[in-house]
Amino acid sequence: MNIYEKNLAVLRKTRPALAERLGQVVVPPHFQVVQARNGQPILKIGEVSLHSPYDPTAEGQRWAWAQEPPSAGEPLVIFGLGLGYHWQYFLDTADSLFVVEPSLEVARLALEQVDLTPLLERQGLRVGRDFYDLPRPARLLVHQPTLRQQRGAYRRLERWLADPSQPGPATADAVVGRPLKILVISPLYGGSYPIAQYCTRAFKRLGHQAEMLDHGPFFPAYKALEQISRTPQHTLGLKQGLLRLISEAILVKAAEYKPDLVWALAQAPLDCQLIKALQDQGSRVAYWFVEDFRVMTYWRELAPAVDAFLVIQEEPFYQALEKAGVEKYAFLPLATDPEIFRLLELSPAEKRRFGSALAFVGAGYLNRRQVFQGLTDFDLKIWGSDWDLKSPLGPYIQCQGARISAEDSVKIFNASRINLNLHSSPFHQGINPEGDYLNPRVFDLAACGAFQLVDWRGQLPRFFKPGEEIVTFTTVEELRQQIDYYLAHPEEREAIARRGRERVRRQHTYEHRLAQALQLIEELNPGAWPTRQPPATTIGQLLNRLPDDSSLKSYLARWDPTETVSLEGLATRIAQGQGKLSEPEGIILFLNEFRQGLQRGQL
Amino acid sequence: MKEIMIINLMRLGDLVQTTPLLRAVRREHPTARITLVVQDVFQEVAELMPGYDRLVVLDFLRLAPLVDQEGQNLLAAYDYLATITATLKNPRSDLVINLTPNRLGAILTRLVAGPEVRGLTMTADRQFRSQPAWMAYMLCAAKHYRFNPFNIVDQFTRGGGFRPQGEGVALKPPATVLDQVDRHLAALGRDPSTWLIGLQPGASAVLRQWPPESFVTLARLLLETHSCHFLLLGTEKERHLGEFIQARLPVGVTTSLMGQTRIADLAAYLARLQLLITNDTGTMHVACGVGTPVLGLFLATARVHDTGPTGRGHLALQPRLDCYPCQNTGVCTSLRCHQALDPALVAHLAQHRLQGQPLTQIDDNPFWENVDVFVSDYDDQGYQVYYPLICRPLDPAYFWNLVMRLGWRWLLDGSPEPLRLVVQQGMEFIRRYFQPPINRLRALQREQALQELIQLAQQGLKRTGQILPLGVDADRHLARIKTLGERLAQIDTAIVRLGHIFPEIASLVEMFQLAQTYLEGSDLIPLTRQTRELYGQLYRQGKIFLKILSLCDCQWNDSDLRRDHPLPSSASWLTGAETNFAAPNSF
Repeated sequence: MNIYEKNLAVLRKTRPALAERLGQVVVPPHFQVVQARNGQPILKIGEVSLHSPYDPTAEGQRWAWAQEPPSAGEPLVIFGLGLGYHWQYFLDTADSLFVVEPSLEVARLALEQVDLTPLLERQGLRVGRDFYDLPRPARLLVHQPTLRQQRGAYRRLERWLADPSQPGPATADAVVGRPLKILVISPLYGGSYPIAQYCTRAFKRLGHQAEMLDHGPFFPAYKALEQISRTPQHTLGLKQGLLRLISEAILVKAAEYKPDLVWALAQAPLDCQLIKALQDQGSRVAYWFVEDFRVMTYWRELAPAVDAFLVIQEEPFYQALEKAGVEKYAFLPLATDPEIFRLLELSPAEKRRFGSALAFVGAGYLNRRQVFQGLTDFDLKIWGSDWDLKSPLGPYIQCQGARISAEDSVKIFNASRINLNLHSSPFHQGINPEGDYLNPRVFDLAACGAFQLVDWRGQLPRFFKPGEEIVTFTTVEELRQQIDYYLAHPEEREAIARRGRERVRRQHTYEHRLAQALQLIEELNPGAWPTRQPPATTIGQLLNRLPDDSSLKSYLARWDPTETVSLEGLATRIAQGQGKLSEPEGIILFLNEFRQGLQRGQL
Repeated sequence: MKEIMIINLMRLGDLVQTTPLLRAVRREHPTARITLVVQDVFQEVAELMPGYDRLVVLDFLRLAPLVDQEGQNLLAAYDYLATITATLKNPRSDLVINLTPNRLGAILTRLVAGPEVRGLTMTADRQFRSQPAWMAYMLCAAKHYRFNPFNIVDQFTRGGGFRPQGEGVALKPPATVLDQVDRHLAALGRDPSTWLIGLQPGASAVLRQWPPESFVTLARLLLETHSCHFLLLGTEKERHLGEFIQARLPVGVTTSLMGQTRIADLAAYLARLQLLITNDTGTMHVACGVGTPVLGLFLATARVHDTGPTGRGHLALQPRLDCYPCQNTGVCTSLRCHQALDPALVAHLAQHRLQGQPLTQIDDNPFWENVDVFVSDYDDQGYQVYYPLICRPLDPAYFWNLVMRLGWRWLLDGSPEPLRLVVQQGMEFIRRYFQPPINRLRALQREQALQELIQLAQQGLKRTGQILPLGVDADRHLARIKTLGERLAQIDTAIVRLGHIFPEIASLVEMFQLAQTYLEGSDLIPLTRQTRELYGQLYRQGKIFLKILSLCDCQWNDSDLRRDHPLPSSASWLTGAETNFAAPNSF
């Protein structure tokens, strides 16, 4: 019997439901067990190691010594299972020890790697949200690497342990069920502007009431201010004046719309004062920072102010956020809108216009200018702005370097045999060897069923299987080899593109991401959302539950019993009805008015 | 009457402000059983209120999860409400007074109504109605609060059909709780000469909160001159404000009660204060109820005349700025009004009140440039009134406030007194507390707005007059009636537009619109007659306000305007000399 089977056997006896769940877990490839320098196994999630890569035992011992031991009889709860190096010392010293691991995958790998039976036998392991039976109050210790990965889950556990009056999982776990009112704040321009539009559509498709405050129309005015003065300070002052006005417009809109959530995209015209004012008006403010934190540093001001700061990079960004005092952050990668980025039947004329062996759509960053100069012997078309028409790449640049609409991008993606995707970098001469986040083009291209060659990114294996669903390169030389190979093997190209598209539609649309985002926001701010919408009820079901002498029964009996009914629907009918208002009708009107008052937050 | 029911499903402050009505009802119907209906969240407040015999509490906390779940729970919610309705109808009330100005209160009133109803209710044919006229005014004033001259206590009392008697709000904390509070305060070990001052830094909206930094400065200024102990009051949600203040003041001079007091405790602590310094909050009204002097700070949309402290001798400050009161949705990024109330000013007034010095009118000087300071009192008819503490030339805003006060009271009370006499009484008040205006105040714009309103009402009378004879044979004159109907719609649009252009007269327009929603039936002739009556009413109202403007304006002659009018004695207590702040003779 190996370690896994031994652990599982004990778990089946002590917590059979958990044993069942962990037995079914398929661990994704970015969860890896590797060897530390001293030969012991350690766990890595993507590029982040949960233990010391040198001596995890010594590190765990140091951690345990640094903690204040629990007093006699006090239950001890440790957040983060890892591979057990840090908590095993408490097995002997704590009267009652519980380890809460938020990730099923980590728990599964630990089961495979470490003898957990001393913990399992005392029923000390909790996974995911299965912690509502833990004794309260309890001493809570935190495994920092786990915390950085799962800050929301930690906040939920911490809040529940700290407040014995908080009810059990039924309410504490209430996730987003009732449609939320969401106000999406777009930037004035830039790459995140269309993402704001996609987010609005996705929130609506998820059943929420979403509206985008479109700041695009302000962009011409913003640019026009540059023509007023030649003095940079004056121009800056004028632009700040416009941004102040926009801030007031956001506040007014929010005051009238009363959103549950304000969802702001990177570069949206928000500042800390405005965020505070929006929060004071009763909205949660989430900011999706779809930027490279090394390039754009304005996150330092905004991130501590919002209710959720969602980022597309992990370490070392997490450490930087913590250093800046940010607690409410979480990882939320980009995605795609499959209704915009889709397979398209093109006319022969469109194929001629938009098609080529090799295409790139995007802005002319320095690293791209350099790499693409090595590809000029191919049938290459470059689309997008900020390219130098007088450079050697000039003949390949389409439409005089004009910006390309999303619709035209879709046509180009569909028409090109190979689409290049080279992430921008202002710090590298060519390909960034340590690039981490994925740009939206990775997902957009895949959603179109387009074949892409993308520069290697640390996060990539988490989203696609390299070689099966996507093809990567790390050097120009490798890129040229891949181009030659895949131009010569159209069937392989198409198969990879098809698998990539299926993966994206299955897991990487904005609907997937934003559903996850709402969950994350709720975890970071437990109790953030209104409670769950009940299932629909028919009049017949209502009638069956009513006693014969109920005044409501005789009132409802006149209606079609198969009809779905809601309080609001009943009240609307009654308000429009004829004749003298009966008491049952008055009661229903009252209940509906009461409910609407609760939803408005004002009775 | 044997059974009288008063429904008030509003919040803390509104509930406290019901007490003058309760007393008026008791006075007029000493043998009636009075039932008070409140929501559970404010049950504790109701229990401190004197003047009723039975309290019925609507369990909103229990109802909330039931209506949110629907299905099985909806039935439970229905059953609960059916039970409550049965309780409230047993025995049926001879008179139901609903003070809740929303549909919730109106529907409940419909469910439990007896032969007579006052306040907003729902009719059997599902329409919303309000009566008497004062109640309709209250509904309209809520929308156009910027020009409302009546305190909510008087609107409640008059809306309930009773006359104000110059009585403030009243609350009675239980003796046992007072004892506990006394023990707690004694345990603080204060020197008997130490002033015990309450600070309430929170408010219903952030815009209406004086900054906590200003409370800190105020407290420091007071500490410089006298030994003080501050009780920090507020809810759990406002605790951070208290912590902010506490952290910046010397150790031992504050005690935070934020989030720790039930209403009875709060009332008892307030009763022991020498002064409460507060934003416009429910706490302020509770303090008034237990007879504690208040120094109220009114910011953003909060107005002293609307919801100021009730009773005699309270002080209330409001900004004197062109943007005040907030005209928009309450969104502001400049917050000038927060800066206008300088902590030094507030400290001066607080010291004066704490030293027990009489409230005397003071001359204007730059120190007071950005504030208006009012003292609360009653006029001869028992209505709440606020006198300016700073003697200044009568300004157009206060003048219009006076015109509205005189006009609406004369109209809504159906006063038998000649209008000229009423205006004279009002002017006596003005002469006592204001210097003559710098210019004539018969503001042309307002006069023009009233003239236009009168003209539109005349046109409405003319068109309805043309429809009536045609209505006898409506089928034959269908096209002409339709044309006249379209003209009436245009007139109504113009009336509404006028209300938007001149918010000063918006309450007249709003009353007209509200009355339009009360029109009954669908037959042409009766409907036209009712509509004609509304235009006639609007015409008369316009004329009355125009007349008041004209009568008031005649009160000043040219010498007045040259400012040789004998000024009220106004040596400032700030500079030493004092003059008693005389009570008004008439208003």
